[in-house]
Amino acid sequence: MQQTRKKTILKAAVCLVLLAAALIGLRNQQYLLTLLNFVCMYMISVSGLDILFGYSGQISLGHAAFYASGAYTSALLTTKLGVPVWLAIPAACLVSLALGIIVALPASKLIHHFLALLTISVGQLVYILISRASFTNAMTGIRSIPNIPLFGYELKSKYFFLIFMILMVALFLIIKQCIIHSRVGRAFQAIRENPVAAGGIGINVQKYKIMAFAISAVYTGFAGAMYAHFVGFISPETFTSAQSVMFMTMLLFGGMGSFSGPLIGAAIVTFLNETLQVLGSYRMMVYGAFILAVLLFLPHGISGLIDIVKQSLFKNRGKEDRHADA
Amino acid sequence: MVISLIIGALMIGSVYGMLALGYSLIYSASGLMTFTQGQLLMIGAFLGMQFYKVWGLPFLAAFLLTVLIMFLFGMLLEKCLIRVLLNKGAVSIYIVLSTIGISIILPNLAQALWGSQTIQVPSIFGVTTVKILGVSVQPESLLVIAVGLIAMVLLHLFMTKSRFGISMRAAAMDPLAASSLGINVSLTTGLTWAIAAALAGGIGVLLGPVYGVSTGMGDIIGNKGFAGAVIGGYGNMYGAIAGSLLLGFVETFVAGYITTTYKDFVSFFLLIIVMIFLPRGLFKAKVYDSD
Amino acid sequence: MKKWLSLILALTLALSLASCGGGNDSGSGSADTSGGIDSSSDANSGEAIKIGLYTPLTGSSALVGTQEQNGVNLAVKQINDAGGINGREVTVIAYDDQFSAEGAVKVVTRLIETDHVNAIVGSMSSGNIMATADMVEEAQILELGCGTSPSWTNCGYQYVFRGTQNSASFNAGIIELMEAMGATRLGTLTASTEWATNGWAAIKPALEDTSIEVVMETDYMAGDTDFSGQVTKLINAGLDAVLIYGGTEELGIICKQLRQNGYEGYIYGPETMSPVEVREVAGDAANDSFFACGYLIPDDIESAANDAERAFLEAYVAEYGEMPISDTAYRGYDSVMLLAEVFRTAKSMEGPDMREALLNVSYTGIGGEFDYSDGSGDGLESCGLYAIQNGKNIPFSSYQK
Repeated sequence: MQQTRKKTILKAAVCLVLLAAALIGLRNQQYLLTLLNFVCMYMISVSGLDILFGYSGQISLGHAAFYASGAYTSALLTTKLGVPVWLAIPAACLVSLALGIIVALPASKLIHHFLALLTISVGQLVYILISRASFTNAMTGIRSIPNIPLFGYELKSKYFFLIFMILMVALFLIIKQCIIHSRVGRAFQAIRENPVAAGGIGINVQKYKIMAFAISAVYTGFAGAMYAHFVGFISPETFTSAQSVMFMTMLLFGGMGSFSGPLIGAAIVTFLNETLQVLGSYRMMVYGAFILAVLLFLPHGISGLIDIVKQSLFKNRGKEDRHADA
Repeated sequence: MVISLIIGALMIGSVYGMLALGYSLIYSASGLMTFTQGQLLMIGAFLGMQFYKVWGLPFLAAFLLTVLIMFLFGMLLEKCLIRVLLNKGAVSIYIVLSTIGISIILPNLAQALWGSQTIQVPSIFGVTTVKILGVSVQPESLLVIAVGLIAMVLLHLFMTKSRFGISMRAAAMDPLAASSLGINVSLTTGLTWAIAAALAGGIGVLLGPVYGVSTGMGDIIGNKGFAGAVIGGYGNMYGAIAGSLLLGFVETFVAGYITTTYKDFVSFFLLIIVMIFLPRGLFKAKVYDSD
Repeated sequence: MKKWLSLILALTLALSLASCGGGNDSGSGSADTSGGIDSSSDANSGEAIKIGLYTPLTGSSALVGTQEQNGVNLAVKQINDAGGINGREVTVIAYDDQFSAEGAVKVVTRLIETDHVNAIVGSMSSGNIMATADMVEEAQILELGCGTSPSWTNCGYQYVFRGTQNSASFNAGIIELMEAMGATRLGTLTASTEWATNGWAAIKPALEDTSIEVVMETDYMAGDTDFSGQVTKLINAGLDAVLIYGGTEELGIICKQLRQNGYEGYIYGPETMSPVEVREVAGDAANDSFFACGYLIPDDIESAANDAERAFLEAYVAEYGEMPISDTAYRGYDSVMLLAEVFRTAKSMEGPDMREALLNVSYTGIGGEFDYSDGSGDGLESCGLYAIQNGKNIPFSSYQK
């Protein structure tokens, strides 16, 4: 236990050092910096989805709803009520948390097919609400969302925003690892493996399911708030079901129930999407085929593949780190 | 006003019902969920347009040909994707995601083949409107309602009277027992996917002359059909139809009397309410984890 | 474990560098590339001039987006066939903005920072132009946007201009049409898009000074196909005028559903009513409809409004084998031709010089004479009033009751 935690911190540190090194080389690559900022947001969001789907086995195809609740709460509070950014972001997380609990109350009773449908419906409801209601400026969207102030500076530069985002990714990942390796995390995994048996050994299944939803919602809501402050403009088109499907694709491609899966997935799918831009109108066709290919040939994602390779390479050491095998 | 609303509701309800039937059939036969029905409807509409408008076949021939092709396409989808995934031991949620993948590919494929503009399909009838009880109605809406009705009756007869239908139901109830009785379970599930695709494609052909044909035409309809199936009680054929009609009525009357802005909001809200308080739908279906 | 992690990271980074540096960048990956950025935005003779384009190329708005792309490509081809600009070739770098702000932000950054384009032809989606306007301003890149929504001109942007008409003039045109046809009881059906809701929001207060009474307002989700609830409601309100403020995709269906359910009054619409698609989908139901627009695509080349349009249509048909379907093709074409004028006359390829050149540009395009000298961002004010009769778009003046 102690050892795993140490390892987690070590891993995060390795990531940080590597990223910091990479950052120096990227100072002037504005486009790359923009993409990396997005990658960081997706990493947080997909890590949240991983807690829900990868670890506790509950699917959500409506995570765009939480992304939207985070983005809109923060944007509305700062632009309409003049709330300081540093208060608006926690508020965004809280609203997402509340939404997560509201969704989870009925959702925690449903089996996955119906859960998929319920979450899709919630995604639709939130989308319709933000695209029709006057307090969200409907389809016009919200402009001039302030940037994040930090020690008296505004994180206007994409470079500093990225450094901030990387710290946030690290923070959220450490929290994620702590949750996963805690009692709560073990309860999640027990529920994922067999909800009936988990109930049988005294785990309050519904409570933990709601908890997983709420935590997941906070992750995605925070990512949404970051999106709003990074771009400075939000409009409903960003929060359609396509966004939810993209989060899920990232998670599947990276590998569910693992530390590195959401990170790899978020990075590669983002860059893949941008690379596919050269295909113009054919882009989405290839993207759909990509989802199918992942499901058919990489059912455990990249991190699952790595685990398999690793296990066949170091058979004797394979035992210590198997949590990625969902 | 009430009469036009009722006819409108019946028509859109039948459309949702045809899709919902497909969702329900697949679920009751194999416990799997699909999200492609709306896109299959769109492909059916394009095929029908191709046969009827471009190649000049009679409408009935275009309709039957499309239904046949969609039937085979559904079969192919099951054999080449769903079955392969199942054989690899994929969990059922992967099947759902794979159908989402398909539903991303199909509209973009259609865009590549037919372009992205709405294509008009000439009217099937000589007249543009008919009068019923004093209100003007599109004759095509009546056709959609009629075809919906016929399809439901046929499917009912097929499932309860034919040997194949009975073995399909048996396979759904207990695949193991059914296969030990010599029923080809793989074939029967393949058949449900085929019938679902044929239903969606068929209704797509009929919608061509009503809405025109475009790559996005199935997106919203597909979701609503799904909602109809759930409201009725997922996996129950009759429930699917009842739920879809209910949804059609709620939607049309909400738009007619209360709000057009939040029309879809009300439909999805209804769906969520049903899932919370009547999780088995109007007709019972298994939804709880602990059942 | 660490080994694998670092490997993954290295892989991701390599991939990202490859994907983003691909094509245009020197891609050396050295620590200091700032020198490279400066030099490539300079006006070097032999090097090609790069025009960036972002617009929806997939999804429900792919039609208008790809039409815009066609217009842009055609203009660029003509420029290059005529020897380029001061001996330099013009190239287009086009990306799909997916009709979403998020997509637009990514691709516009890519156009500016990685591709180092000299100028940008903007999306037909006004929302996406707004989402990226600050970036364009900061980079001082001249952009000609192809959306018509009034929301992003006259608001102080220095580098964001409109390469087409402002729909504010169309809105005034619609009111003029309604008054001319003697409308008294108006009902509306508005799409849930930025352009449509703001369009109606602009028309509504202006109606207070007229004798037109707004009896009923309804709306629909973009992408809807079933409008029976709205249509029934409108018909039963006893209207003599219905304004459909929506996209071309839905206008035809709505006209058809209105007429087939027994609506006999006049139908009014914005510029999206001009494409032939509306008349094809609606058939006879499109007759007795009226709209205001800047570019009207004629049914055949012979009935082109002026020589510029005739030449454009001939070239377009020769290139793509069919008439343009959406007027976004016109917008893209005019925008590139305008930019070409700017490239020719600007003192340098720096943003401020190009802006100066655009303010003084004199160019007569398909839409008429462009004049940006007031600095508002709008440069074209032509609005024609049209009617649909016997399945054809005709000038309003020749409409016969």
